[in-house]
Amino acid sequence: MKSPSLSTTAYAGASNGESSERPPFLRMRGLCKSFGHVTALSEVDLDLREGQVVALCGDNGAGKSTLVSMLSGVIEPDDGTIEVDGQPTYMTSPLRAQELGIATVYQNLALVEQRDVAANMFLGQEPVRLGVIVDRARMVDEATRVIQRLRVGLPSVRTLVGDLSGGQRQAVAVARAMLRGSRMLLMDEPTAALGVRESRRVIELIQEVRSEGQAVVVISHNMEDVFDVADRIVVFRLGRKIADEERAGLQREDLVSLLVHGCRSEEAGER
Amino acid sequence: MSAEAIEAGRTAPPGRLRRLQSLRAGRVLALTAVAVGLFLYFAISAPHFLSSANLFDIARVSAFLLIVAVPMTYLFIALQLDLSVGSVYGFCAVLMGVAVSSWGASLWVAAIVAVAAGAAVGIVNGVVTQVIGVPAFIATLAGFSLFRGLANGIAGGNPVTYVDARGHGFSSLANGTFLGGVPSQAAWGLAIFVIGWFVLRFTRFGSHVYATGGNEAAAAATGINSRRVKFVLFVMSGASCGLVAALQGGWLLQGDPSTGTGFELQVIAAVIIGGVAITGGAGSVYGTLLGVAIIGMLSNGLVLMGVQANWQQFYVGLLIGIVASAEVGINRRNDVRRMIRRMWRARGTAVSTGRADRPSGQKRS
Ligand SMILES: Nc1ncnc2c1ncn2[C@@H]1O[C@H](COP(=O)(O)OP(=O)(O)O)[C@@H](O)[C@H]1O
Ligand SMILES: [Mg+2]
Repeated sequence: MKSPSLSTTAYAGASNGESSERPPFLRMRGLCKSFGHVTALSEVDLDLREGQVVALCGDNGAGKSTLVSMLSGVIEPDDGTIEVDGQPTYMTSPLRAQELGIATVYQNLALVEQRDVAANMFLGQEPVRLGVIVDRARMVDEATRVIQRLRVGLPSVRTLVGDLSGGQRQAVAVARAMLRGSRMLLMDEPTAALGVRESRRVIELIQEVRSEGQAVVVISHNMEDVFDVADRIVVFRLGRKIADEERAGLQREDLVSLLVHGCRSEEAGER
Repeated sequence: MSAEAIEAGRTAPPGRLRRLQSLRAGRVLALTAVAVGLFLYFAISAPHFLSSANLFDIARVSAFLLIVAVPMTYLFIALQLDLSVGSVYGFCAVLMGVAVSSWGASLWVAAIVAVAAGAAVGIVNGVVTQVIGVPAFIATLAGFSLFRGLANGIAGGNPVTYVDARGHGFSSLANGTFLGGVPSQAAWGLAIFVIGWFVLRFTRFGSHVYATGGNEAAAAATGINSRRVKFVLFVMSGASCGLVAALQGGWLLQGDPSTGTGFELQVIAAVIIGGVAITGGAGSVYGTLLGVAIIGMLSNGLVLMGVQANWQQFYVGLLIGIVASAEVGINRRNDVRRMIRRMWRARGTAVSTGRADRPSGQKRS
């Protein structure tokens, strides 16, 4: 368990020098995953620290969503290890990941259209009275509170998700993760369907969550968002990690070049 | 999706925004109106329809349908189905007879045997569908044939009678009356309805049933064990067949191997008329109650009006066709509208609201 004397805020923007003092919240070593003939991820090492925002970048099919699914217990790695607080951990189910305080915004959102916003936000985690009876009043209250914090334009948390626009649905998925993640938030393209104002708000919220000491992983194709919010930028290409840099150490051109050519701009120029 | 769309979402009138929600409410209302209309129609045109003896008769017959239709509603919401219910009903009825006549069990014990046997069949269905992974349609089709065969084989094709059974306390519980003539079958049906309605609407398990049928991948991603949910539903379905077999045994004091022939189709008809979403994820026990009541009133009222029993199936079939077409038509109303427009060759600027019907694309297995 973590010692209370180690304030999580001390890790905001943690540099490599501090890393020896305490294991990162989550450490991945040699993660591999194949789907039939397709190698989605191979030999991925990655550390995720509390109070740090890591942006995962890479082309479509680079393996970013696969990595997120592994960390949220939806798929199991073929090979490799995951440690949480230095302890070897098997993310055998989404429930296991949730118990560890990990919440996810899935790329496909994972919402039930026929249920309302409040029910979706508490899906699988419904608060109960007397052991079995769903506490609707509490669900509606808490869902409303988070939605308001997110400043989403929603008529009511009693609206069916099937009646919402794409952007509103994405906001509900983000709100659900905010409600549940106590130690780490995984966000797979959380702003893809959002308007400019909503995207800004999500970026602000990621910053708030970081300052509360959570680890955040965000996948985005939006350069501006990535450079605004990320403390570290990790680039994937064809299932391999090809770069893992502090934001300060990475120029915008470098990132573009990494994404396009798979190497840095000066190297690309040399070829 | 642009920022303007979200702004529009915020300011759009609720009528436009809550389409699904109002459609659903409208459907329940329409169904209630149909049931009430049918009741009034028969009350006026069918002689003796309103007599308490006749109404109790409808209740008695409908109760068995309701008891099995409640778990079937759960199964349909979870995108499953159980075709074996009629045969399991017959199998349990025979088993109850065997328990009394061959093993010398009292009616009480035999009734418990029937319910336990039903639950055991449900466990088998649950294992085959959720552990082995055979689609429910195929697995319960096998059960449909298997348990009818077992019932016939055990009984040797003839009813097992046990008129001189011990334990007549159960008999009065299964076939007595109370409060001035209300048949006890109706009380059983009412009890199952109330429990079924409450569990689906207010408990965590009920929420998980809806989520399982609505979007199983989402349910799994949020930590719901959908396989376990569906397993429990099959056990509930089997146990309900055992319960109706026990009630019938306590009433008729015999176990006929042909009991429940065609029952599965009546149950499914009631559930579909009750407005469960054929694509899963929506539906209610109240709707199923209306479906059962509509079928019960139709078969009773038509007979009272002198319509041959042979024609009843025709009207039930007609009703299913209308309800199913209405539901699918409403869900696909944009496509239908476009098609009609195309047929008239009046191609104006087609207004598409562009909402995919079911992106998750799940199918009843
Ligand atoms: N469930 C799956 N079944 C088969 N192939 C998959 C599955 N999920 C991902 N893939 C494949 O794995 C590769 C990585 O996919 P993904 O992780 O979704 O990439 P990204 O999120 O970076 O766009 C792709 O080639 C994709 O087709
Ligand atoms: Mg992806």
